[in-house]
Amino acid sequence: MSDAIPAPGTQKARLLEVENLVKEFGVRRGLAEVVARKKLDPHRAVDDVSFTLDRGEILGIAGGSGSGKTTMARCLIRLIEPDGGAIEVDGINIRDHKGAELRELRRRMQMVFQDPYASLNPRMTVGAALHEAGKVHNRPGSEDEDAFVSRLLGLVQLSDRLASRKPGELSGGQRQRVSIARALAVDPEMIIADEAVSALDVSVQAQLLNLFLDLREEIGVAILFISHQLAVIAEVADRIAVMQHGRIVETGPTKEVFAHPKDEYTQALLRAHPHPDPRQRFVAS
Amino acid sequence: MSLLEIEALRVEFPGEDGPLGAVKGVDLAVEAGEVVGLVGESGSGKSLTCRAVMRMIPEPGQIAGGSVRFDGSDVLGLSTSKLRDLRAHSIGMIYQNPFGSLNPTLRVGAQIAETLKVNRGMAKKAAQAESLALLERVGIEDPEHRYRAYPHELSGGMCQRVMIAIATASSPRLMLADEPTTALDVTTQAQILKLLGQMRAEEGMAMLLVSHDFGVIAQACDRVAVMYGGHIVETGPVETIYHEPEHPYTKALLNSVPELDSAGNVQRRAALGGHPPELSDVIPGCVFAPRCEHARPGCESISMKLEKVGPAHDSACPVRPYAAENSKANTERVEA
Repeated sequence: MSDAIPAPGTQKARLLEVENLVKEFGVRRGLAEVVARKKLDPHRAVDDVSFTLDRGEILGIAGGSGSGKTTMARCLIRLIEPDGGAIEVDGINIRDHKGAELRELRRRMQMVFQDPYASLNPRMTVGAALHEAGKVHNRPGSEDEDAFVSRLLGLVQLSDRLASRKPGELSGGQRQRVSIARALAVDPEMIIADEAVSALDVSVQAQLLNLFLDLREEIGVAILFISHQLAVIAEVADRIAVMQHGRIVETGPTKEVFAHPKDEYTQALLRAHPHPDPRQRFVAS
Repeated sequence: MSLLEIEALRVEFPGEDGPLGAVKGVDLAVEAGEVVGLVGESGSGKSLTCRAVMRMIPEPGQIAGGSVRFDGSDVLGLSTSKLRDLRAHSIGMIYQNPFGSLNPTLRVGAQIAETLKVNRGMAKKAAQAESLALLERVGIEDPEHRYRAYPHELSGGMCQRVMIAIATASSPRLMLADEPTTALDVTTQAQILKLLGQMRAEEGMAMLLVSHDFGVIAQACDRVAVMYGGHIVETGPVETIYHEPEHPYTKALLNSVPELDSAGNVQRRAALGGHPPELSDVIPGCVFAPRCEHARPGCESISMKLEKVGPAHDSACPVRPYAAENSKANTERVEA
């Protein structure tokens, strides 16, 4: 990619390389099909998807519901087992490994989900949750719980005082920051943010988008930023890949794709975007 | 007289130490044929304000004060049967989750026909014919086929069209739309907004549109009321609110809206700190003051009253930090 961000230090710029990724789900047959002994083709949720992600890069994945964005993301860390293709992290194919090696690869790619309430243990304090993640992966510094937790809370711009709170006592934005801090606890090189800001109020969403930009700058983490909102992707992503029916239909630098969309679906998505300026209405009234 | 007049509306929920105000004295009017937007973040009271019009506040909440007048009659004082008439004939409502509002065990055609039989006293045959016409009007292709479909066989956008068909079956004069497109894909959202605009043009129907998304409001509304912490903080024509916001919250909200134009020019927005107040937070004076960069001594004792700041434009902020630049922009626009 010509717009790649230069690699820090001596490491190679390319972090992740996905080639021809495929995931199929079986389709349940209806009564008529069973009677007719008809075989149904499996549904291809992810259909021959290839893309790359460089260190420190933010790649936006856009698409409507059912386009395969989330399935694809889950396949990357094998939360869902892919049916074909290769997922290489620094040249290591994650599909060839299991056990400790797989755990180590997963450490390098952390996921942040849409609903922070569902992804945090309600009975665990914030501090304990963050420390546990570090301890499990033997991260340097995790021997000293207070310092470890305090550094992580600092990274996501939360006060140390929150360490003793439980998720239920936090606001939605604070909870999502804690989810991000927990992902960062294991020093990942890449964060997969799956609709990570979609459930938040716009004022809080703007804070979180700034946080993702800060993290990329401060610790050089790469981000796969999945969102159904093109405008949210426009705010943070260097490059964008638009998905439809399990395929990437268009990819390129965000500015380029938004200014000159080539694919019909991308054009439709951009046309349908409700602009906050009433002078740019699409609804005739 | 406006079609809908809400005055000093208060909605309360019981709390441990006495009632907690969720809507704290809202005044709002909708004229016949007008589309008014209610925009705000979670907990601002926008949905409750909308639901209070139909007296549909979820338990244990209750309307604790104020008045709601529809076409001159006092909605809060109506008897159950009169209220039923009002809901059946005069006001339609659509919600965020169309699957949740349709009966999953009945074919959608039967659900539309039922509405027609009960509300308009139609015979079975006539109701069926009218249902097909309604499905066609809301842009459902192959209505004969869809008439026999169950809700789960339809997409979200199609279910929402069915809901719109039911809500407009008796040609209501007012439509209450509570986040009608939030659960839908952006392309479907555009279609539903177009459909609502078209219904409005054909039927002269007024609408109260509730949304957290200023983009949706801008697409569909003539006028908008911005809510925060149970109060309307600013109201005016949608163009004025977007281009010349007076209240610091409106300004901050608009600054937070992600825009396509940011593509390729990634920069941090001046994000508002903190988070919207929760029901249990008691904030004296201006509810926005704790997050406001223009807050000054005295803000904690103001009364959140809307004051006129321009033609049909009211704001609850007496500080008016943007008044000078707005009037300058205004003069320039007039000269140009």
